[in-house]
Amino acid sequence: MSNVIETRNLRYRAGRNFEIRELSLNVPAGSIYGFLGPNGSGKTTTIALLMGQLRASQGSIKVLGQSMPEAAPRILARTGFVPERPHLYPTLTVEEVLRYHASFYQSWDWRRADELFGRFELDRSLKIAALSKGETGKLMMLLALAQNPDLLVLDEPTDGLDPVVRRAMIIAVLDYVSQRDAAVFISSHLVHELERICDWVGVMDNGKLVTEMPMQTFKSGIKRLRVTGAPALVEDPPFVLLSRDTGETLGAGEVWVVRGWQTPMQQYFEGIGASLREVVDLDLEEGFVELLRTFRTPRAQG
Amino acid sequence: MCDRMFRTGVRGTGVAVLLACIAGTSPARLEAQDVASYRARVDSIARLWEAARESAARADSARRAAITVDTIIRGALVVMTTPQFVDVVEPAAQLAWEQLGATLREDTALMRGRAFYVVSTESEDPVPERIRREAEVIAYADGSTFEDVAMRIGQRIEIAAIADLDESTSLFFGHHVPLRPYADREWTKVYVELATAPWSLVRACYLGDLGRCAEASDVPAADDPVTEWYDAADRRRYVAADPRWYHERDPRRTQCIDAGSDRACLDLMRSLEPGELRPPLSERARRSLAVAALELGGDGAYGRMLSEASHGPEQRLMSAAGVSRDSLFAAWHARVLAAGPESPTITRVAGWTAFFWVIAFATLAARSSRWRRA
Amino acid sequence: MFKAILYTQWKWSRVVVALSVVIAFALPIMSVQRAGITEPSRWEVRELLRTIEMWSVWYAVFAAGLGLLIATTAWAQDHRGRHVYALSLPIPRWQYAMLRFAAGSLLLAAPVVALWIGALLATAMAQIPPGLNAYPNALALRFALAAFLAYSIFFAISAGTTRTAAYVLAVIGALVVTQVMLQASGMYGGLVEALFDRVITWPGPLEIFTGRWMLIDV
Repeated sequence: MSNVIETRNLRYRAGRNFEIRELSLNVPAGSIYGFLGPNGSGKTTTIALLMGQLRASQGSIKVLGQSMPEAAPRILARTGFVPERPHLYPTLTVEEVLRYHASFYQSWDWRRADELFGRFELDRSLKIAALSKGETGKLMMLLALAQNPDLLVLDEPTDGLDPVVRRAMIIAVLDYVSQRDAAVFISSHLVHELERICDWVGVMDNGKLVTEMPMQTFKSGIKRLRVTGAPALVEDPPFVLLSRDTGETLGAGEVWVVRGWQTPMQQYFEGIGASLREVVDLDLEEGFVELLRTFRTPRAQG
Repeated sequence: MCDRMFRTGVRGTGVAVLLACIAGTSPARLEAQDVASYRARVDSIARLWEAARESAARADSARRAAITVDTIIRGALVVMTTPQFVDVVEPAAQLAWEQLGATLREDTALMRGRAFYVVSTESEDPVPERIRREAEVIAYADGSTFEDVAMRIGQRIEIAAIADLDESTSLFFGHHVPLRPYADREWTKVYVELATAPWSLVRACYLGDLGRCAEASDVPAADDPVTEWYDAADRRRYVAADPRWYHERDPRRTQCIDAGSDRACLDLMRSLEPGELRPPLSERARRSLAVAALELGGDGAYGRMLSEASHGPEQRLMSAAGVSRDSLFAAWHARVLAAGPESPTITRVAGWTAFFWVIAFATLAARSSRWRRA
Repeated sequence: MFKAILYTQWKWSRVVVALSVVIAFALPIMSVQRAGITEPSRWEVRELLRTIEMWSVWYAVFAAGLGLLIATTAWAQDHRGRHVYALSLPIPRWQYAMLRFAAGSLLLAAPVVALWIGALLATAMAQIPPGLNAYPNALALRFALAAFLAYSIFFAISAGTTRTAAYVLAVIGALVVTQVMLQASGMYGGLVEALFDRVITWPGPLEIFTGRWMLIDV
């Protein structure tokens, strides 16, 4: 099995103004796949489709090698899911939720649950309704990890949490992955967070998958260049010109953002009579922003 | 004199006279009058009153004469009414006739000569004199359906029919001969009475002792009803249940109920006037005997019941039924038992049907969609 | 799994169940409090029957209300969470619905048994006048069937989506509107009555509600 999640030409319409279109995702086995996208781009809807809670109008979904939703119970038995919003029964206590949840999973690991309890410092006697946002997040992560899943699907799991809790949760996920060699599909708009842990990245915008590639490729391919003496119109560059800030001041040069940069491409500038002064690596967030800007206004390539 | 005028009851036309009376008897005026002038005044008022009364009578006669009456004839049943009520009265007469015909069959001819005038209680038209003489007036409430009017006609016929019978029979049936088919619910009421009555005769009757049924119905008439109808325990119960002695605070009541003195009970019950002591079976149950007799007797049963050759309830019932007393009571008893109310127990079919629906709805629930937005 | 579902449902509806057990036990006892007449007159017997008949209405209302409450509490928490949690559990939806149904049925059995015991006690303690009979078993069976039927109807509606509930309401609303329009136009207006008759007479689903709910009867 090369991919734990595989969708082909998925289509789903949610209301009048939003549609998931031709979504073809590939989440490799054993990877930590960061699913990026601005708010409202369709990340949560895509996850609901993957978890069999929404019915796609077109296309196919395979999770852990089985078709969703036909094999939903078998897939869900091997998948740990942390939804975007808390969904646990608010009138039950933490202990009751734990027992309730455990009864549905044959692979439930009480030892891991107890260990995570200690690490997360949760009070078993508290009612779900009385838990803080951070405690609720930790409990949901605990439930997902203690069921020993082959795949973790986490929908903005750390959104709105303080850095300490975020860190504790991320460490728990990484620990688990290192022990079980499980795949993680994690959506977030907190790009910095994903940058550190993900080895694959997929970017959604307005219901479409913009790009999907290894994190290293994504990060290294996007550069900010400082260029002087470039002509107004550049033709057939060997890279993708994402943006060009032409406001040259005091001889500092123009700022170009490019994708697919490789060092031998420096010679291109000599060919057009320009001079490359500086090549700056962009972090994931800057790359993400530039990528979305290009996607929304393709003509920026100039 | 004014008092006498009020008692004449012609109040509608006497309003003016009334005002004159009040004016004539005011204290200020009396002081200034001598006897002669007072007498002259009274005579003058009397003349005024007479004139008003004559005038009212003439107007009333004219109105009565002007009223148009429609006559509806269904078989031997003659029903009259004013044109505005024909729409209700005509189908009512038809229905009443069909109901009577079902019981009386060929004896419906015996109805001939009876006429009824049906009028709404809201009607302001006076009943014409001719109609008053020829027909019985039946008033019905405005807004009644034709079924209600048919029932009123039927009731009046039943009440009228009892007038043709002797006093003992009239008393036996409670002044009301049932000439229309008994509805099932009426038979059910008789069943409930038999099943729940506290009297030993009725209990025995319910359990199938037909001789006791006859005794409880007072067929034949009892020589000493107090002892023949009720045993000692029944008598104590009877005295306890009858409010008259309670209100009179008769000491014999206490002796009868609390001290258990049967003599006191007997004394009290024998102190009742003839006809005041209620037989163990109610009028409804006794009337149902007549219905059973008419059903059993077939054609001519009603005629035989009315026949002058018969006298008293027993004779009339036997004549109508055309069978022996035992056979009549056997038929009646079977009819009553057949009308027992629906049992509170659940039939197998009803139980399984309910179970089927539980499973059906549970299956529907099992088809609950797994889609959050279908 | 069933134990866990039963526990949650017990937790959500335990107040309803506890209250209904008390009511179910008390109802038959209260309905026969006039039955201690050893030598009743005919009028007293009728009064007793009338009283029993008056109380009988409450058994039907109680059965329907109980079914409604147990059914809606079974689904209320899932509705509140938009079913996300229930749908993320590794179990087919039909199986989940049936487990919830079975758990609710088990909870419903408590007031049914309470009513049965109450009816048996009430009739055993009361001196029933001659001619009348006690029907504690029949009453308990009728109550059980009616309560389970009401429960299954409301459970089926609750298990559906909001759209399903809207469809049910829309059909009822359309019937009422049609009835009103037919009546206004002077045409036959007995549509709703005719349908209602079909529902409450055999083999309609609500026939069990229309029988005699008499604890004591002739």
